Amino acid sequence: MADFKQSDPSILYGPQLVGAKVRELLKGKYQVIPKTREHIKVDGERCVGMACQLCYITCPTGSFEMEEGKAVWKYGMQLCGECGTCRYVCPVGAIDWSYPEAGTGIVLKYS
Amino acid sequence: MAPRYDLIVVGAGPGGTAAAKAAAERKLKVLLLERGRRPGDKQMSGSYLFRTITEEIFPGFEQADFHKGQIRLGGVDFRWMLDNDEKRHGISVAPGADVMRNWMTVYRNETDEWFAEQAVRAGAELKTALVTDLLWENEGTESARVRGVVTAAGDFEAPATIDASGLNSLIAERAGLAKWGVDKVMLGLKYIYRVDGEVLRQRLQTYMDSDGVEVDWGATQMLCGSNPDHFGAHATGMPGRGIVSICFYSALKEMVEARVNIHQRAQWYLTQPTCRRLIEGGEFIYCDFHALAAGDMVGYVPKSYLPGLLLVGDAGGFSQPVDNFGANVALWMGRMAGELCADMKTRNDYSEAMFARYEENWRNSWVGEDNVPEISVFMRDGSLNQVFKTMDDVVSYAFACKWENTSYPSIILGIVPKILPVLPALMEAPHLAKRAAEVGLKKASPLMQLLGMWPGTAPNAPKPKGE
Ligand SMILES: Cc1cc2nc3c(=O)[nH]c(=O)nc-3n(C[C@H](O)[C@H](O)[C@H](O)COP(=O)(O)OP(=O)(O)OC[C@H]3O[C@@H](n4cnc5c(N)ncnc54)[C@H](O)[C@@H]3O)c2cc1C
Repeated sequence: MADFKQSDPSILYGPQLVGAKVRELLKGKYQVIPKTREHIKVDGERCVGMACQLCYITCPTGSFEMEEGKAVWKYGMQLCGECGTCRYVCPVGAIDWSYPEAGTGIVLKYS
Repeated sequence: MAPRYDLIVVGAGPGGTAAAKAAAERKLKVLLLERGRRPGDKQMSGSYLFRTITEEIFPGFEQADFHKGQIRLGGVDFRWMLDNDEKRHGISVAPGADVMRNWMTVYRNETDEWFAEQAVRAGAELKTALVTDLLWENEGTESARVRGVVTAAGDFEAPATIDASGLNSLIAERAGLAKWGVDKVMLGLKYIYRVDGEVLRQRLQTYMDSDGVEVDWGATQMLCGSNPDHFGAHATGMPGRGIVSICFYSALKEMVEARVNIHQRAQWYLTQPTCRRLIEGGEFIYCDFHALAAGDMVGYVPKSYLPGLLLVGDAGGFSQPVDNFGANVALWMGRMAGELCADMKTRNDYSEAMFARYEENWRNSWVGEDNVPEISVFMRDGSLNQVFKTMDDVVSYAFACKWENTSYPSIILGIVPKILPVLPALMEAPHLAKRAAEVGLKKASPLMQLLGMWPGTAPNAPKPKGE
């Protein structure tokens, strides 16, 4: 990480904290039309797990968890922002990515 | 048999709606497919649209209701670097209200819905559906051609399909025209705060322009972190709505290398004084995400068409490579594509050559001219920062010296060594000059040819605009 100023306590440090904080930040504020079919799948065979953790670290909604050494798309059905980040950061192509079904998923708005 | 249309447009963003409207106005039977419950649902960009382009393509745009409570920018506060000492290097530009009138602020979830309404009014049929694949004729062979799309709501067929489904376009990938990856995508994040309108007005020092629209004195602080190559952010206030939105951008490549989440970058920005002041006492109400093309690193896709298929806007990575104002590009390309499809129908000619014309058309317009990744490389590889930093050093030095009664000639002598470090950055400038010269020659060639000063046919002579 570049030499960002680290002295401010409001900075979220380790990636482990981000997901939880983000989920807290988004709680009750987020409009998601229920998805009926999981549109993202992690292939546990391919996932290199703890050596990587990139989807878990970079997902802007904190939708992933590391469980038993593998990435799991755990909160995705409620949280996924449909941005595509996980799909690109995965170095081994373990993430089968698509948009959720038409008419479902996140609704973005200005207020 | 799948229902047949003259044209299928995937995605009701600026590109798709402009295409659908242009084609429907020319009496084509157009199907516009959008995965959101309604157009705009999936749009986060707190966006700036260029009034002239948008009004030309969608007449009535500037009078539309959603502009109520909008605020325009009287200037931009560029702070390219903000290092750990909170020392700023940068410039503030405030050209004034009336110069900035053509840069209109919109919320795309409202605009896109309105754009789609115009397309529907022109005769296009809008359907909620997620396109998951393309239908092919002779797939995998030399004569392969796209003949429609696959959705959960069934297949649809048309002799021409326009992919305007934005970045992450699965269709463009499936067609083998685009390949996305960490080096080609940035993540955009927007924090939205509610702040009392009157308080915001004071913070933004708003005033009125000659349209009677509120203007602020450059509240959009463009800011890059101490690793400015990859991280940028800006804040915009809307007193009429009591809203401040703060957008952050970070290249995926950089996030992967640094193993950080974009919220970490965002938190850092929020602690900076200019930003902190703007949102003080505000309530966090929402947060949006979207991918955008890291245009500087990509340039445009090598090929924007296949028989039966045209790529418009972000789906082809046509995000303006310098400023990333890709909505304007999408609008422009969308109309071009829609008009061309109408042309194909009139001539009943859907040959590959007709589809190829699309590429020729946009390459010969400002969209093609703007494909100058060199400029954004200059901005983002740190060269521009180097230039700003040097300017800053030089000015600080000159001031400091003068207060010590150093003579001006001595000051100038003292400045010379300060300018040296920036020379490598400036060495890149000839590249940019070369691109400008090429465009200049191209623009001048028809006239020179007319005057008998140009041998043979003019290279890529710009065509007179359609209509
Ligand atoms: C944070 C942020 C700020 C930005 N700010 C600006 C700005 O100020 N000015 C500017 O000009 N540009 C800005 N941009 C860029 C701009 O948003 C894009 O360039 C522009 O939206 C591209 O338009 P488009 O029509 O090509 O695609 P999009 O606007 O992305 O539209 C694509 C549409 O297709 C739909 N779709 C996607 N896949 C499918 C599918 N398979 N089936 C059916 N429908 C589908 C989507 O739901 C969406 O509605 C910004 C982008 C971001 C992320």
